[in-house]
Amino acid sequence: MPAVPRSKKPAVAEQTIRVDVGLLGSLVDLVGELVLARNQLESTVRNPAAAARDDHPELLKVVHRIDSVTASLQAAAMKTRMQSIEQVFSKFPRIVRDLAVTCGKEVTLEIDGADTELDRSLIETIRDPLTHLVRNAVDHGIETPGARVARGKPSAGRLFLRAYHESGQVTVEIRDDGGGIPVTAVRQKAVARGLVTADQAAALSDERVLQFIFEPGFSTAAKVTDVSGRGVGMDVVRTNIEAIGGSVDIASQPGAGTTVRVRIPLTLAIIPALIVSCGRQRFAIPQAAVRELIALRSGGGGGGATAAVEGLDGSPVMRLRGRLLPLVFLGPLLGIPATASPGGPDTPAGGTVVVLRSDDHEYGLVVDGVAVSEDIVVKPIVSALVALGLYAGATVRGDGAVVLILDPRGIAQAAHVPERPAVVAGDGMADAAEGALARYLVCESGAGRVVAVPLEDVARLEIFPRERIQQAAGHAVVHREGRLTAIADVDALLVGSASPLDAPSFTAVILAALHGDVGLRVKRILEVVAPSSPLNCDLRSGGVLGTIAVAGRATEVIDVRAALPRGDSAASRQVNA
Amino acid sequence: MTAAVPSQSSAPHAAASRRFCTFVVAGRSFAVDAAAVTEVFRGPPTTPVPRAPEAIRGLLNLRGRIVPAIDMRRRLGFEADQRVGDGIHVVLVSGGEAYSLIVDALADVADIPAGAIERPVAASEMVGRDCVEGVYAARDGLVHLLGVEAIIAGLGDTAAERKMR
Repeated sequence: MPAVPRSKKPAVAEQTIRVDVGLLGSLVDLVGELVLARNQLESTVRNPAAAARDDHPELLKVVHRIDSVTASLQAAAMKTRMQSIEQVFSKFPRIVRDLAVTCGKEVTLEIDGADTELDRSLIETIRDPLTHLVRNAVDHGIETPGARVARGKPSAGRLFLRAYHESGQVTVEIRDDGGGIPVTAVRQKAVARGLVTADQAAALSDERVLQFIFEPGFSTAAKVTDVSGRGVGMDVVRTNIEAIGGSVDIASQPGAGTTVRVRIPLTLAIIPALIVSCGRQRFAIPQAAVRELIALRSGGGGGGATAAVEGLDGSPVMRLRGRLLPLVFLGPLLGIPATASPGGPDTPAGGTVVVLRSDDHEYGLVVDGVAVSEDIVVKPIVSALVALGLYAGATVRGDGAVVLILDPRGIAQAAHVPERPAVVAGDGMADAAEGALARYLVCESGAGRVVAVPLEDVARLEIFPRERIQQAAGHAVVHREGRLTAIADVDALLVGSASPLDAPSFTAVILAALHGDVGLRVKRILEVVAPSSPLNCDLRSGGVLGTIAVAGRATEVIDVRAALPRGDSAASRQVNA
Repeated sequence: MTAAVPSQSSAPHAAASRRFCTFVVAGRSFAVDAAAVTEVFRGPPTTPVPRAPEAIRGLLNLRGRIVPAIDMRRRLGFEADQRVGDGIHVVLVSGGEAYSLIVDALADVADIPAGAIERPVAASEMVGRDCVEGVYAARDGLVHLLGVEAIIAGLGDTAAERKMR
């Protein structure tokens, strides 16, 4: 390994020590166990039976302290295992330069997000596949300077490498502005190799056709110069990435370039997850993929938040705010027999729709019930089970039970959920459509006021027991997901005096991350509305954005930006530091 | 509940003999290399894995580590276990990953002279013959020696066949 002069952080020597990787691994494992024990401790203390039998405020305090210390310890321990992807990226400038010279090409390499961190065990796994993809892009993607100029492009090709965190995963994007993959040639090759009939090939979308590149030996057999190479070893790349539960996608535009997206999954990590039940079994769903929960009533009657299943060409769908959402029934998909009688309060008849969203799919997963949202330790499962494509791992719950973690993407593929429209076109259209019809979350404050919060400002809803509220720097905060979240009372925002917190628990409307870690305390959530008339701004004031009509009554819309006292967000920043 | 495999006296065993952990599945004797076995215990319940290969009965929580439990009756192609109870778990490590073999009963830990191990009969009709690496004629009958890697590799095959695409 060549000695690299350390230009950055010159005085780092005294600040770091070398630690055996195995030791760090066992530290993380132990912290994982501690988190599970903490969960168990919490559920024991929270158990109403235990609380009724013996009131022990001191114990509660200690539990909260253990809770917050565990969360900090967990965050610190996880950090020790994280390494920036720069470790892999740093080799690429040289590889690209050398290869460009060999191939007689001009290539500019641009790297973004090299500081994205991921678990060190994954760094090693992705090194070879990424190198392969980068070599492919230079070798076969970017054209020779002559060909580029002939096409009206600058003679130097551009290769973008980008790494970023997205919905609990790390995505690495390798994009070139080369010639793209000749889809027609791939289609012909697939027919020639007998993978599909000519009729089938003609009916397949271009995206589907590109998938053939991942077939073993696909283009090694194809010695057509234009096509060859792109697929050489792509099956190995995919196998390697899928072995760690990740995925590889390819998109190409003839003449404009190729984008390969490598998604690296959750690994040894602690993530917030939703525990759901199906039959007698429980499963965990990564919270990052969960958009919302909707009660499903088989009868069709009931309140406003219920939904009915319709059929569309034999596939069940649900109408959600004017859009059709494909539904996947978890029980039949996994072959779990339906329980004859609902097992308890967890399993209301009809079940719950968990709306899941990944890059490619948005669908509703129908489960029997939703138990709880909690932090889980993701543990790996053997490759024979990863290969099923349904599970991202498993975890051990507080009571020692093993729970499988569902892979939202894999489930969508197994259930043949249609993919969402291409990212570029889809996003723009969706934004435009949703912008036309702003939606609001209507809730009741502690003092009984009915107020609305723009739905786009809401990240999620959580219920906290009253005693989770702590005081930090003069502000109410709760500890969640290893961070402190400031809790602002809605009444305090509107009229300056907070409503008393006398109920045993409260609902917090956690605001979207761009507002900082802030939650609004409300008594309960009433509904989500999409008023037909626009926001009326006549009554705009400090904390109020305006009013909307909800069931004929003017309802104040909280301006989360202006309403939150600066002190609050400053406090939340401060305690986070 | 958990009992370490008896690490029998460190008697100097001849270089030409290997130590095997023998167990019973469906009335027949089988054995795996004792060096791979880390512990043996009477089974706690396992969590079933929907759509998993038949031979994987479920997942086991082994002190926080998640271990697949392989139903040896199914893996070796016998009738499914009709008895009540969860069987005996023989936990072994292969390639850094832990697996548990669910067997009917544990028999013995035996040193078997290398010379006494014969090649398996090719005509054996046993479905699980893909993981039989040798046969040893003990006093009370034949013992099939199973290859740990082969047991696990066979699992992967089944998974690939059933892979949902």
